[in-house]
Amino acid sequence: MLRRPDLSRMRGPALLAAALVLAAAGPASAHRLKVFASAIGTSIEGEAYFVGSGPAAGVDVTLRDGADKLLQSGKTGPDGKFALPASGTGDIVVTVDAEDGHVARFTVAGSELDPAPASPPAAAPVPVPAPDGSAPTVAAVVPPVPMADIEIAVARKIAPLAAQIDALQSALRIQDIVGGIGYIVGIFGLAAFVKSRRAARDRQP
Amino acid sequence: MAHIPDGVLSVPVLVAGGVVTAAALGYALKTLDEDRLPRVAVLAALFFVASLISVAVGPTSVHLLLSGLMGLIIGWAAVPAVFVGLVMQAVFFGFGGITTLGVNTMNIALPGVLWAMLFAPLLVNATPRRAAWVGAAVAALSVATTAVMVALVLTLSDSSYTLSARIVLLSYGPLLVGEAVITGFACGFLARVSPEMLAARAMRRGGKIAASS
Repeated sequence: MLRRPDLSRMRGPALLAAALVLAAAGPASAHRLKVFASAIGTSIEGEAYFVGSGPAAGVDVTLRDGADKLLQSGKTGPDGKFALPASGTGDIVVTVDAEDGHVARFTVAGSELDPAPASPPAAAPVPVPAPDGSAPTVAAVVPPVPMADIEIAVARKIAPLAAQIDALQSALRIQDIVGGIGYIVGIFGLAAFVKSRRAARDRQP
Repeated sequence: MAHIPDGVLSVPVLVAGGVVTAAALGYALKTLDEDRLPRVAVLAALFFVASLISVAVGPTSVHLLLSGLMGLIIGWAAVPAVFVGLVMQAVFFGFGGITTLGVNTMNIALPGVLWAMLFAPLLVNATPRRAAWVGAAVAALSVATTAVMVALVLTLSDSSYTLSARIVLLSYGPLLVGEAVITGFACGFLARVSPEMLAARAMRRGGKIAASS
């Protein structure tokens, strides 16, 4: 027998491929280190994770300024989270390195940071404690909350949202996987088409 | 690990990887027989999907490479298969990087091709049991070689990566076992249902008569 149809010869890998596609259809997990960070007051907080397979625990985190000067370094906790003090006006590049070729960077815009962390706001009025329930005053007197505190509170609230958006963007989606397989089939189909045309032309004369 | 991202490797290493991959790609495409294209496509898709699924191991995470299996079944065509898979992963998911495509393809595909080439004669007329053991050995050796190459490439780029090389080697241990088991079963299965798939390359080298018998 000279040649059997290709289809039957491909049965093995085809079955394997089908099994793997099915396996991937569940919680699709993946392979890429990512880091997300945001400035909260005078510190930069964030987390590092492998897309799909969970937090990157105990990996090195460094903060560098625009000139690549090392500002701070530390390690992530068991949940992949970290918090390092930072200040200044320039952008800060957060780098996590799992030390095996997995490296991820994230830039925190300088405008998010508190420009002068070292000097506590001297003239800041001490916030008046909010009136407790017994005080019948209508909220006519709003205690002067320092702007910086509001900013920190807001930053804390929106940080998880921003992290979630970032994670969603890099999540593995089954339609992307199927699309990738489609591209591969298409590319090889095109190659087969070109090769067969060339072979046919060679045969004709 | 095997998907080294952009901005980690030094330029000479990137260029060297690119040159090696380009040469291997050129050779593979020249010798690629159009009848085998569908098989290459299936294995490229298999690699694309299999290396998306990863498991956390210690401070890092690993995924299957299947380079040994690819080398055994499609030989040099594993290089374009891996290359296409990596391009798709880089474009769709940002795994690895565009500049590191050459180095990554070299690290993943070449060990599989070379070890499979070395072991291919053992697969001619092999019983399923022997095919399984040969497949497992090729897979394990390919993964180990990939690990060494990744470590080497990182160390060549930046000597401060010496310590990380140790982590790479540690995290490849479980992968090596998993890959050997999977490739072993796959080869045992192939040897039973379509033995010519595994031995085709060795037979072709043996001459036309063997290939057409």
